[in-house]
Amino acid sequence: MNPTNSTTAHVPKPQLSQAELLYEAQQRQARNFRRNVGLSWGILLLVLIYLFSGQNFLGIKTISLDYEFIQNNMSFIARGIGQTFLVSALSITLAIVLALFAALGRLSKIPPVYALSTFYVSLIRGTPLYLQIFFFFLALPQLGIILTGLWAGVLALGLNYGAYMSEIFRAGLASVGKGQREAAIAIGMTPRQTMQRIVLPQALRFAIPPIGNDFIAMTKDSALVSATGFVHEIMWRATRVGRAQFHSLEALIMAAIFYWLITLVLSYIQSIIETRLSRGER
Amino acid sequence: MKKLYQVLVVALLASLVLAACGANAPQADNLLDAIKQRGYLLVSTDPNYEPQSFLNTEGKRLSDTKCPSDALTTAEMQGFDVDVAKSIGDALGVETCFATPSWDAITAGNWADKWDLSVGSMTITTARQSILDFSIPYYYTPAVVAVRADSGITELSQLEGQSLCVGASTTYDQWLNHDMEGLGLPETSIYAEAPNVTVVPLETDQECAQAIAAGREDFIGYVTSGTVVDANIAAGFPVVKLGSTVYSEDLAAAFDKSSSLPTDTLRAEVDKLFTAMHNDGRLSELSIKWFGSDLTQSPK
Amino acid sequence: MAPIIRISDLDKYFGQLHVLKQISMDVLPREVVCIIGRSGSGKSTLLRCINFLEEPSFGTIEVDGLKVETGTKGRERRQLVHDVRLKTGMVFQEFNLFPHMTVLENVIEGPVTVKGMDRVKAIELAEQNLDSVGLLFKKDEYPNRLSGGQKQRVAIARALTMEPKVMLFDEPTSALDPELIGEVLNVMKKVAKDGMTMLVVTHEMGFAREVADRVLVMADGEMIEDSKPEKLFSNPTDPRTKALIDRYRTGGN
Repeated sequence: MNPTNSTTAHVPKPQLSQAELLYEAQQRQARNFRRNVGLSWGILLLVLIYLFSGQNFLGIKTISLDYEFIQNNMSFIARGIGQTFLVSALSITLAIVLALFAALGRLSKIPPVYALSTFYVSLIRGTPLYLQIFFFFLALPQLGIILTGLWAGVLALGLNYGAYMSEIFRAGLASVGKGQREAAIAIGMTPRQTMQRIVLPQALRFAIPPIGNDFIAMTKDSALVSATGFVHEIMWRATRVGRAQFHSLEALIMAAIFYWLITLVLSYIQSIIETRLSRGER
Repeated sequence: MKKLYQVLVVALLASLVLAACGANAPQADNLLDAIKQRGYLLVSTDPNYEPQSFLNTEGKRLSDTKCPSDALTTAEMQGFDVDVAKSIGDALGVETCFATPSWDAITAGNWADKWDLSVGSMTITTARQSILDFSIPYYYTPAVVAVRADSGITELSQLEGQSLCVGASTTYDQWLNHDMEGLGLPETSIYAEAPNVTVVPLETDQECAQAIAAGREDFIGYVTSGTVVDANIAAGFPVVKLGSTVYSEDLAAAFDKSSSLPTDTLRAEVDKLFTAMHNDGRLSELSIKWFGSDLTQSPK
Repeated sequence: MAPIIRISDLDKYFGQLHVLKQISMDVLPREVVCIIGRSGSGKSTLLRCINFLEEPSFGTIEVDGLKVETGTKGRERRQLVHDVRLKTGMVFQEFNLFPHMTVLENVIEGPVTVKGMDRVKAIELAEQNLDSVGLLFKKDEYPNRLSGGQKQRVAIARALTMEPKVMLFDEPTSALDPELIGEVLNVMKKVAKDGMTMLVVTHEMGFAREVADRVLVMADGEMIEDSKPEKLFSNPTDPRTKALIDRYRTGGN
């Protein structure tokens, strides 16, 4: 112990163990990292804002926007958010149901069922979503099935995402170990009970994070439904207002910002759900 | 499990069909009576064009409206075509509602009864007459070529070998592609032949104008209605009108030939109304209000 | 006394491989029978044929009066197999608890879903069994928070709560760390003492010697010995049995 020379009350630093010092250093590193990342984000945002400021500083050209137009029309475009969510929510529900059936169909021993699932997945994954939306809107009436723009879009989006999501469910179903099925059988459960009580609950839990990602992607793809003209969601509002007033760029940028905000909010919610799910139980 | 699968598939299809059926359940034996019965007229218009048809972003949806949920009420729309459509609804004693399909869906016909008629500044062409019925024209627009102000071009002939932009599925598209038959306009309406250019079709002519304003060099000009070019110039776009009118178009309301209910009585009413509005000057008034000049006089 | 399990001329093929060769055996009520043998001898397959986790290729399985023969097919067979499974409880090497359910939910799942038992009654029964295996205090935990030995004890409670006539154990301690084996064996001894008919495939010679009424030895798909433990361990007939016992003895038991 070193004797203190000064007369002022110099509080000696507590002796920390090696482990504690190491921990402190790690904490400091983590804090620095977070702070620097935050700083970088801030700078990137500033650069982005400057890019759209319309200034001509140091000969660097920037994009100039009509801010009055943006102010006047922001709330009109924002009112499309409700329809965007409606389309996305309906579509993802349909997609989940179809994906489940397709995944189960892939496991089926009945030839027509197996064929239907594989055909569906192949056909949908092989054609563009944009085309599928038009198909349901324009071609079905010839078969006597007339769908509103909303339902044609929901059907197209649901079928489309269902085909891709069926892979997720297939993996989910496979992730449930064979031993559990055997335990269920040994207790006397029928195949249906085994599927309902043991396999599906676990497969669905497995699928929740990927489904969350798909939902977020779907809110963007819902913009394509505006092509039918009947769903007044964000994209439709932005294009109509933009064209009529000759400010398509500003309108589309506004739409982009709204989609970005939606994505940020949904991503945050998803991370909370994922943390909640992984805590405690499996 | 198989049975459950089957039941759910049937339920899914059934609910889709039911949803569709709910939209259209006609009881009258012609479209006019059906409209009067349900209390609203459903007009298609694509609100991409100021001043013909564009959104009233400040407008609040009327609370006592009969309009379907995906159609807009008169409070939410404005423009020359909108006012003309409203006149039709008023003459029939019903509310006017606006469906907003994309323009190529409207010009393609086979509307599957999704709306009653189109009031969208549609040009009468022989191609369209095979799938749509037209009313008498309610106004006429000159088609013009607009070029970049700094291009130095003053005559049509100077455009040979260049690129011009048009809105897809428009008559301007057909004229530029020398599709005179498809255009189907009387010879007397055509004042100039299209130069030989590379045609760049974009979704609407607004895309053409805005591309030029943004400084893109994919094309040197575009072809559209004179009213649109006037609006572009007024908005400060760096374009000028080239020479004079290249052809004149008759613009009318359109009806679907494949409508499940006969449209003849409705068409008769609309023709009667347009004739009256031409004679008593109401159409001229509206034209001056929106275009600044009277475009309702036939150039013939 | 009529046997509670009777296996007659059981043959099982996996493709070309003849895994069980004309096995016949009886198990009397309240008997504890241990089956030992090298890996690949067919002992697990034999056990799994009894509750039809494996489909016998030929032969007859009879459990508590329910007889399933080679010729039994279709709906009749499905019904019989279902009933057999209600009469047998199985404990697996890998425990196979349902990870998305708590311990209590695992144990009541069978009675409630399969037997349609009233949930309150099922919980009562389950808690009794959990208590007797010493794990009542863990009833609201999820399986991933339990040790291997605890999981296996829960698995035993789960099987017992179905009130089976026979308990089948498929190498119940082979996946456990050595210090956890004892707690599971103790529970099994208790189950035996309470009078349950047990069929145990195991490597635990000590358990076999102490608790079994009979020991069966499997080799190459055949049953080479069937005797009381004292006789088997002191004076085995077949040289393969001797080799087996010696191996485990030197392997440290």
